[in-house]
Amino acid sequence: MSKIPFDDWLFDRLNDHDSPLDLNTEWEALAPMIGKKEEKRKRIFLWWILGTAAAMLVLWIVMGQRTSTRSPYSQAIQIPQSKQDIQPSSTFIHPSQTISSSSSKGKRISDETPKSKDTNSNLAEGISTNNNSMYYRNLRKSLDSKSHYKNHPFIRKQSTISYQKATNNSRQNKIILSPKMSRNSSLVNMDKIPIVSSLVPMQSKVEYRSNLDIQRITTKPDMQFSTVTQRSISYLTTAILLGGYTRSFKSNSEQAKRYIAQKDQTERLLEALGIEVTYHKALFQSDWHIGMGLGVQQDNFQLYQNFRDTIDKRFDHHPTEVKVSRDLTQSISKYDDVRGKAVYYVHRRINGYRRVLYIPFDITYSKAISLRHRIGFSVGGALGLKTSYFGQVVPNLEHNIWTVNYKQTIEQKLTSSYYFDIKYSYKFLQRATIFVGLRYQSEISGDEGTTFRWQENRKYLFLNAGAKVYL
Amino acid sequence: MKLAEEKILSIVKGCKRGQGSSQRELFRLYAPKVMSMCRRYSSNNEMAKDVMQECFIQVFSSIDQYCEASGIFEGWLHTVSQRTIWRVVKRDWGEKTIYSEQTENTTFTVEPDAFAKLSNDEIIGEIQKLPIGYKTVLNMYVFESLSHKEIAEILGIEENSSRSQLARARQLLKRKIEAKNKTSYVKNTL
Repeated sequence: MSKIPFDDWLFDRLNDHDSPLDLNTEWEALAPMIGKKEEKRKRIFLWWILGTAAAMLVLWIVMGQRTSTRSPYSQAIQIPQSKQDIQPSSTFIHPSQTISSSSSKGKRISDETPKSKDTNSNLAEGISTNNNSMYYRNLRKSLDSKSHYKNHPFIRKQSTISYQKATNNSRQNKIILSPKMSRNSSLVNMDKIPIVSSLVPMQSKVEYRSNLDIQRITTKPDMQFSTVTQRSISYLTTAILLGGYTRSFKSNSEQAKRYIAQKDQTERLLEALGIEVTYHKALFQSDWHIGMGLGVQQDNFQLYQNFRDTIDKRFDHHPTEVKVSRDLTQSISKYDDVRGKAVYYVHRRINGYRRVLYIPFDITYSKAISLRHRIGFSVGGALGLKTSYFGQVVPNLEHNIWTVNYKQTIEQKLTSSYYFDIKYSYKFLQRATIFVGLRYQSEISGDEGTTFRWQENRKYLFLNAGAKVYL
Repeated sequence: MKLAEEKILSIVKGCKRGQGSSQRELFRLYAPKVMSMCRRYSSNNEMAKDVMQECFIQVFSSIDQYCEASGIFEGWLHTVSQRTIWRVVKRDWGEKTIYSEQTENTTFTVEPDAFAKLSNDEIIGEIQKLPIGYKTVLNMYVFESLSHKEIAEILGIEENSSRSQLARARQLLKRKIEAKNKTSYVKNTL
């Protein structure tokens, strides 16, 4: 009987062997694990959304904490309701002042009293006559007076806002104090409030109260000040983008067409995300802004292949026959060049990304739908500064078994895009707004491989969220 | 026994839709074959069952990738299982058994009936007793038809190491089978 090689004998015996197995028991053990794996896959995209929401929540909390520590007014000031509520030694003072602790400053406050009182009377007079221009002239005059409180940042800020309101109102006649409001306004009745009329050392509070009341007026719903406060004010936008995208290729080259068809088959798009910081400046009207900034965007993709391929191969100097002595101490080998077929089973998934650093520019129109809520529309574009790739790509049209690094094969030339977006924003702080919206973006880029070129067109739909900080 | 292609494809479609009955059917059809593969690479049957579980988890999680045009399903399943087994072997292997000594290519010849008394399960049992490096290289070379260069790339070892381990695996396995065969022969004749 002829002898056959040991390897062949082993292969013939075991290759088609089926091991006995208790299938029911094994399936019971396996079934729950399959479920978990599937569930995990389905939740990948959900994690991205939850992560963004969590980031927004953290931003909200951090901003809220900063506000509460920066504005102690609401805690320190209690509006007295009656004379009994007011005590000369109470801590009812402006938090940033050291009036009560400094005798010299206290003296100066006493000296300033008439002027402060004038301020209040002027304010009251100005508003009660419903003569707006007079009111704001008086207001500005009073706030620009020699009172040393005028340099307090809070007062200065309010005075600026008030003056802007005044000019705005004088042009547009939008600010109308209702009779009810005039009657009930604490500003109008300032001189009747005990704190003003009876307690001289507390005049600092009067000054402060007047500003509080100005602020209170500005936040009355029937007064359209929200646009005024943002007039000619620049803001910084931080946007977090999250979304999906599609991709298409164009080329006149036949070779490129074959290659990009192969890319279509082997590359799967996962998701795109990015971050963008934009500086906006008010245009000729307050509701229009132009902006420019810097952004980074990352497109995640996956190379996935699953196929079998047979390739003719030549094996140089391959052992063709080996004779071994019975005691395994000696052997004689014959070598020759052998031609054969190599069978490859390819199954792989390699994640990669494309990262673009770009300059966005846009023009934005935003309209107030209420005091805190706005809706905005933007049209813009972006110019790519730098594109980098990470991942694997199939370079070979004939046999796509071997892969190479993406960046070694493809060089991306100029990248440009345009976009439209719509966003809803909510003003949650004096100088901060959060927004959420949708952005449609179309990008065109020129790609160059080792021997041919093609054009790549990407379309994105982003869920757009972020914050605006007014400078 | 080969099933009709249509039946397999309908089972695969059911698996893609996440139907439990189809998944069970697929497992019932292919588990013995995959288990056989896993046993050859593992040290014992319990470990082989663990590896088989990983193989089927991988198969079910990536079954969406399979399309009819890419070949028969059995080939695809074999490839997925093979890759999973290699990954597990590499993980378990660590740095336990890396040899890089020079060994000549040796091929043994056997008479087909010489080891006929041994069952396939007994031969697999002997393979399982080989050191992990030996049996891995032996399996890859004999059953997956990989060259030493490819084995070296997959396992992250030197090509010479692959050659030497294969040679030693053959020697050792043949001795073990011969010894087992004699014992078996004696048992059968007495």
